[in-house]
Formats: sequence, C-alpha cells, structure tokens
Amino acid sequence: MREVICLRYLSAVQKNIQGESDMVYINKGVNRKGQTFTSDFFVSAIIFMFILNISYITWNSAQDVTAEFESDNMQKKIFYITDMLTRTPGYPYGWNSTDVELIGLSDSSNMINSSKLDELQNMSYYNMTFLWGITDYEFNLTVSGDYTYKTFGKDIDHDARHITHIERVVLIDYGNGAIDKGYLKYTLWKM
Amino acid sequence: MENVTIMKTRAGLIFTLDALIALMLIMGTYVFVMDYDVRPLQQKTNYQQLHLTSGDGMNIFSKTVFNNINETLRDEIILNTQVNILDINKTLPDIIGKLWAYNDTGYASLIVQQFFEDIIPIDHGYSIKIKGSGDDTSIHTSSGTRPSLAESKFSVSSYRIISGYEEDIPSESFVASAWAVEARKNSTKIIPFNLGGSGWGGENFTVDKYFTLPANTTISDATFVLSIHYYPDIEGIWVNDEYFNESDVDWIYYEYDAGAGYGAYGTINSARLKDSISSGDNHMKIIIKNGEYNSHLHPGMYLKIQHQSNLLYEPIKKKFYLDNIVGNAAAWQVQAFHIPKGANITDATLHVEGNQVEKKVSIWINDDEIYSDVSPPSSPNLNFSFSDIIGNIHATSSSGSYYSTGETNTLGIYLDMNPLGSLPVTGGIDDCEISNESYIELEYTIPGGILKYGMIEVTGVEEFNNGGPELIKKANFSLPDREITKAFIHLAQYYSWRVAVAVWNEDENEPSWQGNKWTDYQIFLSPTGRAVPTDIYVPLDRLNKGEVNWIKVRDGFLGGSSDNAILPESTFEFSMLVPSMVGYGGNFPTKDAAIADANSRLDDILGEYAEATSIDNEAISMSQVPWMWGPAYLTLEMWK
Repeated sequence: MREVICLRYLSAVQKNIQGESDMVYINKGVNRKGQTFTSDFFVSAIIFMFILNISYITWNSAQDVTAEFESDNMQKKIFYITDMLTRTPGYPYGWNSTDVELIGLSDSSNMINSSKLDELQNMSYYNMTFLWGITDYEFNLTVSGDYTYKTFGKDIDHDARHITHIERVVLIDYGNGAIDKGYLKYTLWKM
Repeated sequence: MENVTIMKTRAGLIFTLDALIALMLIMGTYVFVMDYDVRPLQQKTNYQQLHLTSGDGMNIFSKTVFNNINETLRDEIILNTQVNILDINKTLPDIIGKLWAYNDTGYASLIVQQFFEDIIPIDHGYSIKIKGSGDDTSIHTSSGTRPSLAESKFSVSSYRIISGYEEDIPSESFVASAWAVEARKNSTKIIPFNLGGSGWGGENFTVDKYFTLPANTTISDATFVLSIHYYPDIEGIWVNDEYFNESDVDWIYYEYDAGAGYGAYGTINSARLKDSISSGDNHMKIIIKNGEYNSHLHPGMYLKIQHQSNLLYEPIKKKFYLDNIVGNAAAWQVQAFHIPKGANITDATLHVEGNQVEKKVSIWINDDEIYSDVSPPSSPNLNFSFSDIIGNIHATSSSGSYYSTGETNTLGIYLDMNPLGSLPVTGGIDDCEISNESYIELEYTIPGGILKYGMIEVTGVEEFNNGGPELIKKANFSLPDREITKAFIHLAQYYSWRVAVAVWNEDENEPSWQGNKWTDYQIFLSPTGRAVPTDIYVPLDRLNKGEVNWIKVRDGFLGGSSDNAILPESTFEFSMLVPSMVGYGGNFPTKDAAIADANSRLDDILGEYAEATSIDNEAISMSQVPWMWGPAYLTLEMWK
C-alpha cells in the first residue's frame, strides 16, 4: 500500500511537475524527525526485548544445567573413589606409596586396613588426585573411629562453587584383632 | 522529480523478518535446553547416601563378631541364653539367628540397637527383621527422636542370608530313635477245648489237654470256661496238680433238660487257677459223666490266659529233610543247614533212614563223625538227640545255653562208602539208598536285637457281650489300624446243633438269611449236626483294619431248636503286629531330652499291647550343619 502510495506520490510529484495529478499521497503526522516513534519501532523494540529476555533466561538455565552436570559428575567420581577405598584392597594388593596404581584400603568389604591407611599418608596430594582422576578438583578424605582420626587432602572450602560430600560406614582393622567402627568421609569440590 | 528513498520503508520490512526468524531460533533453543530434566540433585544425593549407608551398615554388621560387642551385654547373653562361650567368634547375624531360633529376640534387639545406634545418623530410622519359613519377625525398630517409617520420604533395604537357623528349632540339638530290645507283651491266649464226647451210661468221659506257654511268662489272670453237658456231677477238673470241682464254678447258664442232663456254661476264675498255670508245659484234665444222656463238651469251652511274656516270638522250628538218594554201590549226601547268628538253640534232633546198606554207615556233622558202624543193619533207622549233636553244631555255650555262631553247618551221610574217598571201599555191591524220611530238625529262638527292625505280635480277645442268649447273634468290633495277622471266633453255647457264621465290614451290606445259609460273606457252615468248632477261623480279607467289622452267627436250623442259643460270652480273638521301634523324632536341646522323647514315642506306639523292658537308643547331634535349617533372611531397612 505504502509502495503504491509512494509510487502514486512519485507519480503525483511527477504530475505536479508536469502539472498533472491523479492521486495525492497524504502522510499525516509523519515527518523525518518523528521516525523513532513509529509503529515499526515499537514492534521491533518489543520483539528485541523479548528476544533479549529469552536469551537471558536460556543462558541462566544453561548455566544451571551445566552446574547440575558438574555436580552429578562429581557425585559419580566420589562414589567410585569411595567404593574403591572401602571395597577393594587396591592394586597391587600390598601396595605402597611408590608402586600403587589403584588406591584401595579394604582387604574385605568395608573393612579398612589401618596399615594401608598409614601408607596413604606417605603419598603426595598430587599423586592421589592423579590416581583418582580428579586433578581439576580439590578433595578431603577423613577416616575416623573411636581410636583413630586421619585426614588427607586440603581443608574443605565451603565457598566452593561445586562441592559434594559422602560418608561411608566402615570397620577399621588394626591388625591385632582389634576392630573399630568408624566413618570414611570424602569431600570433593571445585572453585 | 525527487529521488525518494525507498530504504526507509524497506528497512522496516527486513527488520521484522529477521526478528521473526531470530525469535524462532531462540525459542527453539530455549525449548531444547529447558527440556533437560534437571532433577533436584539434593534429593538424589540423599537417596544415594541412604543406600550406601544401608549397604555399608549391613556389611560391617555381618563382619563384626560377638566378642566385639559391649562386654557387659555379651556376658549377659552368654549367661541367660543358649548362646555360649563357644559362640564368641560367630558373626552378629549368626548370633541374631541363634537367638531368634531360641525365641530370645529381646537380646537380639539389644545387640542391634547397640551396634547401629551410633553409626546411623540421627535423622535416619532403621529396623532389623528376620524371616525364616514363616512370617517376618521384627528384631528391632528405631524409636525416640528418629523418624518413623510412616514419616519417611524414601527407604532402602539391605539383606543377608543366614543358614542353620529356624524359628523355634534349636540350632544345636539332638534327635533320637528307640527300639525295644526286650519287651513284655500283654496278650490273651485262648486254649480251646475241641468239641467232643462222649461218656454214655454214666461212664466217664475224660479230656486231657496239653499246652505250652513261653518261658518267662507272667500270668496275670486265667479263666477256665466250661461249656458241658453232664449229669449229675463233675468228677473233677485238674490243672496241673491243682484240683477243682463244681463248687469252684460260677455257672452263668444252667439248664436241666429232663432225660438229657444239664446243659451248663460257667467259669472258674480265681487266684488258685491262675497260680496253678505256669510257663512251659501244662496239663489239664476234666472228667465228666452223664447218667441220663451222653456227656460231652459244648462249643465255647476254653482256657483264657492273660499274660505277659518276654518271649515275643514263638520258638522257631525248622526241619531239613534229605533227598531220597539211591546209588550203586554206595549212597552219600551232604545237607547244609543254617541257624541265625546269636539264636539260642533249644533243641536239635537227627533222624537217618537208609535201605540196602551192606557194609558201612558213617554220619558227620561238620567235621565230626558222630556215628560209624561197620556192621550196620540193611535198613538202618537212627535217631540222635540234642545232646548227641549240639556239640558238633557251630555254636558257643554260655550258662548251659547254646548260641549259634552263624556259620553254615553241614550234615553228611555216607552209606557203604568211605567219606574221604571217592570209591566204595567197603565192597558194597548193590544199590544203596538214603531215605527222604531222614531229616535234621532244629528249634531256636531269635535274639532280642531283631526287634530293632521288626514288629511284635500281640493278641486281644473281645467278648460279644451284647444282650442275652439269642438264636441269631450279631456283634461288631472296631479293629485297630494295625496289620491283623489272624482272627478267630470262639462261639459259646450250652446247647448247640449247627451254626452258620458271616463276617462283613463297614463297606458291605449286612447279609440276610436265605434257605439254610447267609446270602453273603459266610465264612463257616457246619457240615453236619453237632459240628460246631470252638474256634472258627476268620479269613483276613473279611476284616478291615481301623474300621468296625461285623459278625453274625445263627444256630437252630436244619434240625436245630430254639435252645441252641448263641451266648454273649462268645468271643472274637485277633492278633496284630505292633511296631517295636520308632525312628528319629523332633529336635531337642539335649541328648537326654531327645532320648526321653524317643522312649515316650515307643511307649505310645506299643500302647496297651506291650511294655518295653529294655530299650536301645541312638541319638545323633544336629549341629554345625548349616544346610539343615533355614535359610533365613536378615533385612536392614533404613529410611529418611
């Protein structure tokens, strides 16, 4: 319509110039200075704002999903690590801090061998994170009972962006027939 | 003409279309991203933690031994329950199982509570249950500040299987069996007097009755039932050396028939009679006469003895006949005979007959020549007694008794030949014969130990005992649910002619009388007048054990009269087998208790029929056999 009107305007201008007139284009209230407040602008502004809003929401949701994935991933790691610690003797069976390939503390399910716990103390932090595949994370491992309290790794940073924690109930075998009930607590976090 | 910029109008067009496309893309991305199902991570973590705690808790519970629990509780359990010091290295599930088997779940609950209370977080609830073949038994459920299962959002369970335990069955127990090595059976023995006569014209009619009772028989009661026809007196009744007369008789039926004398039925039942009868051989004599008619015995005359005897089996008598052998010019034969090991050999006799013997008779038992004659008669007829041959039979002697060693014995008879050679060395010419009348007879008793595997036979007697004398008498008897080995009817009448007897069981219809016999199930019909035996055998297929069985008897047909009544004192005698052993029974915590139970079951099964005087037992321990009982399932449930 507008094109027709424009053409007719052109035509009218031409006719004006030529002294002929067929249709006169009238565009009330419109002049070059008021272009910003036209309906086109409003519509596009609305659409733009809508798109912006959607983008924001989507971005935030994606962030949450990513965070969930990360936490889920950390949970899986922590389950795996604590299962290895509490249900396997590690590899090789009589491992020490220099030859260990898989860290396990239990000669039988949920029965922590205190001598392996002592051997763990001889390992470096980096070595432990490397063997557990958590070099991108920080960890704290605590084994406690009535007669023992051993902690490994760093102090827990409760302000970490992603943090997950698990507790396992265990028996601690001191090797002389003495057995103690206790806990193995593992915390993993990422800044 | 002005050059009008079309772009103004076109700019609005392009912006609108681009925006729409972009909007669509973003909306699509948004939908895609938001479709990601993000579960609340915290809830999932809580559930996983609960699952791990439950599994770990059951693991460490299963690995902890009884000795590692609180010492005070441990000692208290040892003191007050079936758990003992030998159990201190058993795992806690085993201890829980044992306590459950002995119904000591209170202590089981204490163990569970003490173990789990400080390892399960306070905001968790938990319970332990155990299930065997029956319903779940709750051992312990948390309470107090811990949440209840009803309040929980989720719960998990962990299981353990334990073997060797069953509710109400001691896990360490004994079972026992028992058998009567010696028993005294309470039996009734009927010694019938056969129908017979007769003494005419007032002359004596004498009956001598000989009978034998087993050794070690204790007689508790004796009744002599007289059913006679006589007049006017009884000359005498002798039981061994004891004399009885008419004054000793309690007459039940006594009728004078003019011109015929008395028809009488009565009994002698006194301590004097009982004491006059002994184990071993007995002799009874009765002398009656009838001055008006003939004196004779009527049906139903017998001696009834109630006794206890250690001899549960009658002596076994076996006779081995030789074959008839004719040889030229000699005859020989070897007969093997066997006596069970341990059997008490009470008698042995040998009888040898030969024919056309010319030169020699040689008789051997095993490797002993017990007889030799080089000038024999042509038809030797030789008898050897127990004392002649017992020393040559494979047996051991103890306190004057002989007990078989169980070895096979041989009897060798050689006529007209040397047993050590193959040719007739005595010069016999003609045929020589060993007669098949030759035999060796052995009598022995089976040792008591055989009772371990067998049954004992006991006898009972029941009177008809229903109403008065009747021409047609009907009676019924309930037989025990035991194997019946023999049965007899002993009819009692003071006047008799001829009888017809029918026997039927619950599954059959009562027979009726038609013509001169019963329509069905007739077991006896007198062939002629006065042929009424005192004991009438009942075919065993007429009787159903464990059920009511019927007997119907009638007299007074084919020449009989209304006087020929059947008396209610008629009896039904039956013998049956009673087990003399019981197998393994229930479980008992001690050996003595298991044996006592086995002996009690043996007494029950022997019942009124016998009394075990010597019992052997076998008791075995049922412990450390985990596959014997169970399995049982121990469940740890946790909730939050």
